[in-house]
Amino acid sequence: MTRRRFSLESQERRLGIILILPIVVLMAGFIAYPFAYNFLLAFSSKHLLSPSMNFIGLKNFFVLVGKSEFWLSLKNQIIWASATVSLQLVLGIGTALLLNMEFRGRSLARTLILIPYVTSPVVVALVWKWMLNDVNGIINYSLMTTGIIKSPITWLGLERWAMPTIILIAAWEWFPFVTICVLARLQTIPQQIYEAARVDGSSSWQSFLHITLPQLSSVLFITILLRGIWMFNKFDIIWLLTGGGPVRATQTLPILSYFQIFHSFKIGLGAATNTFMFLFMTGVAIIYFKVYKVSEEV
Amino acid sequence: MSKKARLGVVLVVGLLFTGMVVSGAFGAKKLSLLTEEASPEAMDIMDRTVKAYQAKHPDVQIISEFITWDEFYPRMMASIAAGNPPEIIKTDVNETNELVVKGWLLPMTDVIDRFGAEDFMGYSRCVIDGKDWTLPVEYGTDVLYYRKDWFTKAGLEAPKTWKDWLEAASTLTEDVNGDGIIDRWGQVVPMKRTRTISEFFLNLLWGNGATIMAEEEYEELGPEDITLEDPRTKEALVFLKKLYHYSPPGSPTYSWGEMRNVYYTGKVAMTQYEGRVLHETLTYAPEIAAVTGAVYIPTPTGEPGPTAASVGGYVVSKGCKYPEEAKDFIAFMATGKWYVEFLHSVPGHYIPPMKSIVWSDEYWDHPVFKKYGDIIKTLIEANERGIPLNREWRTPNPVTSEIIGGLVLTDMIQDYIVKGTPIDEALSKCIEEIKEHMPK
Repeated sequence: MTRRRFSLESQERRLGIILILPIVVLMAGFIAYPFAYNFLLAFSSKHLLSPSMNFIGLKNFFVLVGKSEFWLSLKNQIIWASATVSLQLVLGIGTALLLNMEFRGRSLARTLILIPYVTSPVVVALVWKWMLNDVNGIINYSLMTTGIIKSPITWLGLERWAMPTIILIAAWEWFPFVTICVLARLQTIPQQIYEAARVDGSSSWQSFLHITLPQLSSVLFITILLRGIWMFNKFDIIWLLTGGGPVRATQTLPILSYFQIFHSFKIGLGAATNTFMFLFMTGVAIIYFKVYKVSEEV
Repeated sequence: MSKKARLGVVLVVGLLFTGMVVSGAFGAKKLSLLTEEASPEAMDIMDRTVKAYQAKHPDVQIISEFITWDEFYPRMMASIAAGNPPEIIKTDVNETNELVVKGWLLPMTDVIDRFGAEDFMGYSRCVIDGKDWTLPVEYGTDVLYYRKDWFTKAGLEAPKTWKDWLEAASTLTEDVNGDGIIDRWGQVVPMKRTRTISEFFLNLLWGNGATIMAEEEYEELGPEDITLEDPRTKEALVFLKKLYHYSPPGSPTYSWGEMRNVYYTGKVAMTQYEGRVLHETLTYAPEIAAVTGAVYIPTPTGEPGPTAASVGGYVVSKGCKYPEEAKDFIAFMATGKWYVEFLHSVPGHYIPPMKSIVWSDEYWDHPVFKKYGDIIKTLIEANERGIPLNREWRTPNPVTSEIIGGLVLTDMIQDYIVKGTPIDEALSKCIEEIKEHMPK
């Protein structure tokens, strides 16, 4: 009897290993190997077109931090990631609260709000670029005909406007993700809590502050984490809208890395940039988890 | 026959058919082709040429991939870096040099011999170590397009000198509808962080008698060969900044496409590029094409000078499994009916580098050539002074390719003109960057 049970257990264990093997192989091939190879490249001197690769220790990292372009890109990336995530949260929570209310056409509104999120970033970038065009764009035309501005603004071509413009576009594109997550949580908050608070004389603002927000904390924790990671690593929308310009005003680390590798052919330096991004993001994530833990305890 | 038996027969026949198809595909000699000609016209003719070749050679299968010009260079480099370069690449001769130096290509001397080496114009061939490395199929040099009607109205002549050019740009930048806002610009200066502005600048630099580097063998090149500190470089930069003043406000976001777009939408009086400007103006605004003229790029003295050119050609990767078939296919694409159709797909833009074709009746037998013969003639004759970007000393220099591709010049120009960095500071930074690309 005991032997048979052991035999069954070992059979189940073997079956379990067989079942998870494909995903382990896939992860090793598509995640672990590229990650390890990038790490190796970061400590090597390698030209894109040359097969030779020499170990140079930390030299790439010293070269990287010695370049003003790196610090500018890091600053841009922090501004980009924090501003886009913050705006997405404000817009996402706001629209989720609205869509949680009873009104006619609510289902349609809930569907329509998803449009920016499900649209390809390529399409989003091309459409916005066209609308923001300095000579033919509808935005400049509308602002000029209504007398808000006197001459067209080069939204994506001026250093002072380019970053705010791409932040707004990115916030517009990805806030529905926050809306969906928050709305899903809002629908599970028992109405009795609000009713009890109302009986106790709580205002709408107080209810939001003391009931809604605490109830949303767990969903906001994961939403901020995911959106933060995704926005920090974002390449496509920035590349398509500005290419990192004008004069590197919107150049973030992923774009710097792209230029280092595919335009300057310095793979090692590009890999060092990527490794730095990984370490930076890991550090931020650790702090985030610690801070969240503290606030939970509080 | 029972239901099960019938199902079995169907399955067996299906499997056999699939097997035949699969074995056929595996049996074919597959050749991958990467090209930077991604316009609908070029893709169409390429598809038809591939089909015609495959019909003639059923054992060969060509798999084409089209990438737009701005993205082509990194895409090509990525595939090479991954150790899996396409077997046939249609690229600019500037990149060819670098690929030769790094040992990625097969010589193409035998293909050139089929056409006759003496038939190729100017600097279209890529000869390194006595061997040809590309089959050039199109040769395009920048010219300056201008609005004849606006020039005539303003009492201006087509510009020949920098002084004329600046005067025309200044005069034609104006508020046409009288609402107090500038709505027409004299010249477009595409300032996006791409190679476009580097090419624009090289026309000014070379036209002013300056160069990026001194004439030197590749292996001997050193930091002392960088010649950008020449006062004529600064003159060219200062002139570019003055021209930029008359460029539309969105210029920092403009690359090749936008540079042409603002011309055929009637927003600027002058633009510079190759024959595609004529083609697109004819396509989207024939009324503007009718009042368009083209001249050589102005120089300080008015004498036509060396001008930036692009030479598109086919190369074969060293790792190509079927080099003979690849070369045969390339020769097929550059011969007879299919080649002329390719050249006519964007008339005036694809100019053949072969002397025997460029003035032939067959090539000139096209309505656009008959109607816009003057512009086409200017474009063809400009090729006599057309210098590929990395051949300022007429011999290929891979460092120049690398710094142009690496946007080192573009960054310097943007720093000085858009950001307002002092000229000496921008130039010193650029020189330091170039030093990093020198052969070790």
